[in-house]
Amino acid sequence: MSVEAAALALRVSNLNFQYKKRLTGKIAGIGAAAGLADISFEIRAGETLSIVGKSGSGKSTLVKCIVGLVRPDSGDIFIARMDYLHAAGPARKAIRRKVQAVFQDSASSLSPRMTVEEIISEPLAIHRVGNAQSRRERTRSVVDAVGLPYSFLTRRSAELSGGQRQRVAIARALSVEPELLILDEPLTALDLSIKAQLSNLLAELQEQFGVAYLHISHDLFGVAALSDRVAVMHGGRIVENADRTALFTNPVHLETRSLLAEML
Amino acid sequence: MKYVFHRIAHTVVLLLAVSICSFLLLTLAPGKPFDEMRTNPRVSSATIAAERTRYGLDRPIVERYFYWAKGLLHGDAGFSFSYGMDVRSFIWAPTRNTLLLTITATILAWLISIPIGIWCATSNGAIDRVTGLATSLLVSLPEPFLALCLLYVALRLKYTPIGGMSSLDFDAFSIGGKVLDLMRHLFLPVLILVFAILPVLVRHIRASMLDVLRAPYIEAARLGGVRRMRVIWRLAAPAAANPIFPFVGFSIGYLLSVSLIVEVIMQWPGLGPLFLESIYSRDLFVVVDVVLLSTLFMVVGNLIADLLLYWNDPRIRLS
Amino acid sequence: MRHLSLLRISVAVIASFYLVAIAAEFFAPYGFAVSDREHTNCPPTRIHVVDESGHWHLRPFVYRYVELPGELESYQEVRSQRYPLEFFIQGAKYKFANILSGRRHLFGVASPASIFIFGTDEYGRDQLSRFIYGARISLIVGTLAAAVALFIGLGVGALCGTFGGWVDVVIMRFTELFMALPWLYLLLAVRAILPLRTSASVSLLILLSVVALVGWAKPARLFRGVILSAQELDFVVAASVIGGGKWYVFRRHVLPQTGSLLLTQAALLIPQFVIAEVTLSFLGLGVGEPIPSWGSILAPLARYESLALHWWLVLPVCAVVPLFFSYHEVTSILQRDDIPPMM
Repeated sequence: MSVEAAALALRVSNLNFQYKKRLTGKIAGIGAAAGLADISFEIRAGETLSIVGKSGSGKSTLVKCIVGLVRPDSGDIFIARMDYLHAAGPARKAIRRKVQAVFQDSASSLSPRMTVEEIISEPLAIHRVGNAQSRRERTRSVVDAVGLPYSFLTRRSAELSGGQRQRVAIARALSVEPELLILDEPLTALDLSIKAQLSNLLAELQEQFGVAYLHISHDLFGVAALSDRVAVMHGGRIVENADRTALFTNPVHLETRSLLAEML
Repeated sequence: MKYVFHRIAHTVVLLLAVSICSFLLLTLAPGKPFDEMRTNPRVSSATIAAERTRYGLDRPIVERYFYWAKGLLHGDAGFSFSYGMDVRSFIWAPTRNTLLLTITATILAWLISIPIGIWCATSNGAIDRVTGLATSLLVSLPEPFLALCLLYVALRLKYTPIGGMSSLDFDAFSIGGKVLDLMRHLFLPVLILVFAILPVLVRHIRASMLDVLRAPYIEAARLGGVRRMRVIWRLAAPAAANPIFPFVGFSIGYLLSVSLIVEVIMQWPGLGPLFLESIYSRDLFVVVDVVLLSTLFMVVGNLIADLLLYWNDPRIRLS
Repeated sequence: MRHLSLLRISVAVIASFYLVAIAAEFFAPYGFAVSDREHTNCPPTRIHVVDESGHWHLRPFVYRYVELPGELESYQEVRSQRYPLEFFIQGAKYKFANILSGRRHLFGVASPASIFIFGTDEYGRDQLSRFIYGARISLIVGTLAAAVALFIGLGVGALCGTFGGWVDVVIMRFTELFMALPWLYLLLAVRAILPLRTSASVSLLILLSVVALVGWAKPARLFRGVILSAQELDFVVAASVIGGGKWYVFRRHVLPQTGSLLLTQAALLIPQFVIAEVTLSFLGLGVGEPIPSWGSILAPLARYESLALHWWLVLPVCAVVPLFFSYHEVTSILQRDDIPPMM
């Protein structure tokens, strides 16, 4: 393993997936779901890759493959340098710990029945990290990190604002020290000022925890601030994958240009 | 048309499955036929063996099912060990009597509950509240209890004859007299059945009607100056009918159940008393035949409901 | 607010029925099999507050009833001596749950007088006592059968909802069979397979299992639906994304979502299943004599000569109305509408 390869948080190579005809509607919901065609990309440790594409471009399918909700037809996924698709049992679970996610709709992605403390410590409990005492300490430290007061620990998610809920979701994801954090449009549903706050927070947390981000977005608005590199998806393929500045200044693919045009 | 075909196919499969289950019930139930004969010292074991062969009881179970099902299709409903004759020779009369009771009650219940339900949904609060309380009380009375209460009232009032289906001197009546006598005997059992199902139907009709009346197009029609009665009967009622159609099937099934109790209490010579008697005496062919008949009525009822929905709802008809 | 107080009253009524059923020995003035040969078919004992000479008494009292000479089953009060109504009276000895023995009954009168609030049946047994003991059988069977049916329903619903595929298809088709025939015919057909004359405890078990067996299909379908939609919820998906296993996600996130359905179904099924027990016992397919159930104490009424002569035999019918009414109210409030669902 080369030095460079050792520093990869995620490597996806030649990933293919086609929805079975009967299941398309059920899994994808209302919109037409795109499959994946020969997807390959890498994310280095501590780096941010943004994947941008319009709805139906296949980006949510890609996320589902990486978090294990959907099994690809062929290809490889290496998370934290470990073969994810061919692992089973405890090994698979150990890999699962290395990738966590924050979703778009914080109101529905946090259980209404659990307190903030239970929510944040849930991954710790699932992955059996430490004992009750150390979990409590860990929970408090990530709550500190996302800038929430301890008094929130006993509240339930319905009592929090959208921005606060998203901080809870980030704290939950960071509690098990993942190497890769998937941000599935985490800022879309928020107000402009809160967007900026959270965007700064995410940047700080990346410094502090050394975690890589895979940032999914349907437009280029949020991407500029956060990402090192940007990949554009269209029809289940990655049509362009470039440095952020290069992509913004010199877009090659038609789809990229169309996304850029939307920004203006 | 595809919808209709689909419903009919579904019904047939359901009937087939019920027939298999009934047959298993028939075969696996403890206490086989001829057990009583076996305890009789005057019947030789050879006779029993011969009887068993005659009814095919010594064959493997799958073969026996097909033999039995084939017989059923040809109208051979098996042999009643307690009556000592073929089931088909005596099952027609109770079937007719039960259907007479249940269908009369179903039709009457719908004829009464539709206007009441619509009236409740469209009129002011007081009427609605009173009906609401009355239906709650009726719903809270278990069916056998309801039957007994009405029976008690009828015994006190002595307006109608109680028990049985005809007077003792029925044969001496003229045709008109016979019909009148039958109707007089039908009155109380039908009344009980109607009272049993009325609260359920009224509430659902009312709820469905209220739902439709809240729809914007009804509001628009009202504001547009369409007469109130026209809005209710021509616009709202047909739309409110769609969610109500499944209750046609339900009401038939439910009234069949209640009529079993009512028939037993009122000594109405229908399937109910026959069913109960055949259970007491372990007359299994009769048990299975009654189960199959009741299933048949119910699935036919559901089929009618489906077809009514098809006829009334253009969305299904066009798809 | 009105709903909340109505809910409280309904729950209190239901709870008191259960309390009386559980502590039947204490609440019933007499045993369920005690027959008073001198008071067969006796009408309800009248409770007086004014005596012969027109004096008012704070404590209500009764008179002794004797049969009119020469007339069968016609009774008159012996006005010469008053028997005051007493609470926590020493009466017949009983054993509660085979451990606690006692003699106290909630109310009663000193012998030789007796108090029959609901009158007596043809064997001279106190109808009220039989009604109270009958509540025990009917409520136990109905409630336990509902619990069993809900348990099976939840299990089957979970199986279908989580595994899907052909398991789901086969089981869901199978449940349709249970809804293809009228429920009472189904109930009796299932009852017909099982032995008719058995000991009381076996009959009880048979009643329970028949009712539960007939009733599990509908809740199973409902639970399946709730579980299916719960699995689509974002936070449930999130739980599996953060690494929760199938069983963990089901137990911690999916199962709690079935809570409200469990509650409404319980409020709906218990009265239905009590009625099922009542119906079976009424038709003579329940627990045999002398053990009473609400169904079997009404069975003699099917001979309507006796109903015509002895009006008090309908009293138990009226006495159950508050229970079923309360259950109905609870269900309506839980479902937030007043539509009785299809059975």
